[in-house]
Amino acid sequence: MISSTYVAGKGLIYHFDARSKLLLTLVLCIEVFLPVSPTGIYLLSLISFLIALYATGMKQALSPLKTILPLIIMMVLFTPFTYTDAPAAITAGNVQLATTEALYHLNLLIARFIAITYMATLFVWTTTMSDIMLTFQWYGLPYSGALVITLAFRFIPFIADSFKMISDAHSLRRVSSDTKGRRRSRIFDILPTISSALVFALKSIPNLAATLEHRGYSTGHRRTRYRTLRTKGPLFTHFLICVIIATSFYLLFSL
Amino acid sequence: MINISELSFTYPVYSRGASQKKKEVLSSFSLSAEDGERVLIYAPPDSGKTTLMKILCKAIPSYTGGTINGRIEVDRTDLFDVSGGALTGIITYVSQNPQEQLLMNTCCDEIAFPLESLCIDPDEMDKRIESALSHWGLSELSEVHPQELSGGERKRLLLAVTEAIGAPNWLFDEVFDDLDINYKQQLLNVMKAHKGTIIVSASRFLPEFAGMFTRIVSIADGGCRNLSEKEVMNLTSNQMKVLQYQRKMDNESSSVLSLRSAIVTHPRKSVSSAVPFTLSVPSFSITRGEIIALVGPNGSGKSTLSRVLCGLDPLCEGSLTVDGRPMGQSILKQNVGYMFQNPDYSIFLPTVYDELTYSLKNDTSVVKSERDAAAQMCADVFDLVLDDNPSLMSYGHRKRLQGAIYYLLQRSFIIIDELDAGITYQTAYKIISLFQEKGCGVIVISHDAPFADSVAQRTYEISGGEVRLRANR
Amino acid sequence: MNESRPAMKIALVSVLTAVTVVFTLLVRVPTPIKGYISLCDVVIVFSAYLFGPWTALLSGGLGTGIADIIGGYAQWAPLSFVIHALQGLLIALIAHRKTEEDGTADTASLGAMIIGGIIGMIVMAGGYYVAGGILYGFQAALVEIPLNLMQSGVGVVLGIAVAKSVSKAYPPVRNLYW
Repeated sequence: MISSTYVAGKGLIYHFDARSKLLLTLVLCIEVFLPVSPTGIYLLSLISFLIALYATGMKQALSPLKTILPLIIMMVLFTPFTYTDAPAAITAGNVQLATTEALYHLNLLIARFIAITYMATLFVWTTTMSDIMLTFQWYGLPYSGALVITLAFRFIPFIADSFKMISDAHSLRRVSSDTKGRRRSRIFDILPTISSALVFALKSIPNLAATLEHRGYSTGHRRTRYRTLRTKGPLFTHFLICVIIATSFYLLFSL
Repeated sequence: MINISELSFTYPVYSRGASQKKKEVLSSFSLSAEDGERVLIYAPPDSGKTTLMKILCKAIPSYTGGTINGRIEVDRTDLFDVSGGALTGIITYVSQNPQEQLLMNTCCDEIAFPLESLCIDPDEMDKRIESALSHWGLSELSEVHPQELSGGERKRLLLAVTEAIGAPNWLFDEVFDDLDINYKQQLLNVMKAHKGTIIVSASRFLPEFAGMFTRIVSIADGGCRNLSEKEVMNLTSNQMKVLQYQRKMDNESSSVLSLRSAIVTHPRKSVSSAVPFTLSVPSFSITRGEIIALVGPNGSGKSTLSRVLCGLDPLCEGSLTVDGRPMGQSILKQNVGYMFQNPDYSIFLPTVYDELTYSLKNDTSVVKSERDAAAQMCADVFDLVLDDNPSLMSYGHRKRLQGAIYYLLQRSFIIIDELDAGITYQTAYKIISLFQEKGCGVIVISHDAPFADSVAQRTYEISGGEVRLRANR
Repeated sequence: MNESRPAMKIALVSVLTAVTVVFTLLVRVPTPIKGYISLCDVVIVFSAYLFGPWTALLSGGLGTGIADIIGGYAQWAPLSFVIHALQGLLIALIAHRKTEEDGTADTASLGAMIIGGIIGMIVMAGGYYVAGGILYGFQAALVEIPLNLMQSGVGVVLGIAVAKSVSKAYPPVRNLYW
């Protein structure tokens, strides 16, 4: 199972300091919910898409669109029912399909959704796991919190691999594949596999705890750092860029 | 310097009743090893070697519970006075199962973690990490996730961590298992050059061990017993016996599983190369009641072939038949059992009895009294106690339980993966002969060639991506 | 659990987080709205019943958040974190495991487990309704309520079964509580 979210690629975005990148992503995600023009939001989405396209290629850059497409279809289907009191904009015969207000809101909802999807995705694609952890720590996450996330990423592929083996082992243990006997509901067929997988995972907890201690982990104990956030140029410049982009977006597109 | 005196240890008992007896794993165990000593603890599996080592690095009883008595000093530090974290720079333990000791998402972070705890300066840290990685042949893999490494590479990573920490006392638990010949030799050289104390545990005496250790001891009834190298050699040669066949072949029921001009591919792409792994099998067959061995180095495709034989993975090319009839994956699963190397994959119920009767319960033609009788019989043959809790039993017991489960499933053929690792030869022989006496065709997978030779009538060997029948011994 | 052992808490939360991620991603049934329904609720409910409020809060929140990021739904991660953390916390507060005087431990009564589970279902479905309503309109968000109720309902049923069987199959769970 793929457990890394980082996508290697090219472009300035990889050199943009992770701390200011996170701040910019969050601020822009909030700004799209303020009264700003849909055009501005679409522009934001387009820029994010183009950066993703340049950084990672067409196939990768289009992938978020696929994951949100069903949702956009649902918005198209349901938003018209919410706003019915305005003049009709689209009609089929005598039936009013959508009002002008509905179209306006639909447009806004879709724009916002695409924008936050691309901005959030772009952040996790272009920032390495260790940089994300260091960024969170810079913003105040305690070391133990970052450690939990790192350990989780260590165990995700391990448990995924084990889960595969466990379900294989159980498929070989079955007496006969649903030919004889009562056929029970399928949802309970998965119980033995789930139980084995959970017991298997729980058994690794004491070993993990012991190893953490053996390798010198304890709370409040001082540690040196192997990895640090390295930024090209002064950090101040990065934050300045972040502030400039965020304010100019608001000033240009606020209604 | 490690000083153990009068150490006793008992694991906690979890069941409400007194069905599980309290058993002392170690009792009045004393051993002291000065700096520069290399001690080998040579004892059969499940005799308490790992428990002892984990006590020395404070994993036990801190994280398992249990009753401990006695006194342990490591470099004049009383072990019971300090926390495990204080021992990082003093003693390093390398587990026999590397998965339980890997913490980070890349190899270099793995080495960095204990160095950070020891507050090593970042520049010094860089140097140590780089030299440890290159010494153990891992430089190329420094940014790779430990889950993507092979068993041997994981062992080497733990040895690289050990070297980078540079603690004076080392504990190596069955550490030679997955290493190939060059790295075995390298490890022996590193051990010879080490100035502190080394304790190594092993259940097999490898030829390379000759003259290596300053002292050899065994764990007998929880206590420490000194052995000479000669005694060890005698013990080793006595363990291997050639399996006597009691073939009760009734001709009508004997069927043949065969695989012809087949190509087997690994469904997942291997990590090191983008090309999927393939194995070609010109001809492979096994008759019921026969024992054959499948041997080959780690990663040669033994498991890949087994997964196809028991219907877990599809056959890419060629034909897989039983008595000339082609077999689909779902029918194969009903005919061929596969005992995974790890017995824990299929264990999930509270008692041995539940595990044994679980599969029978789905079969409505078997009534409860028959089930109980079958379970009792099976427990007797495999030397198990019906009330025991499987997840708390020793590895050898869990392996026997796994065997017992398949024994009751009445499969025509059984593939047994690396049975000899982690259990005594005696137990391994017993499990194999039980299946054989029942008329099963048994495929024994092993990388221990002498063991495979001693059980199998025929041996298939994997080398260079091809499976061949080896000439008779 | 021994309070002086921070490593044990770290290990407990990280392993359960990883399990939550794997269960969320391995069994994915695509649905029109919220991407997919998954078995993540089974693990959240299971953690809440057996390992206490803090564990359920952190592993439920982190696990689903990380799964969203890995699965390509990064924009949902903060919302999933809050909703599932709250779900785990509330279930655990209502139906956490009791440790008896003789040191043995048992799951809460079936009734408490069901009540806790139902409250968890409401929190989860309600949380996604509110979040979805703000993001893409309350009409569309209404559609996913039954789906979310179904997913978390399956989670509660399987979660109860698994909590009971695992606590018997692996008695040392009684050492794990935070």
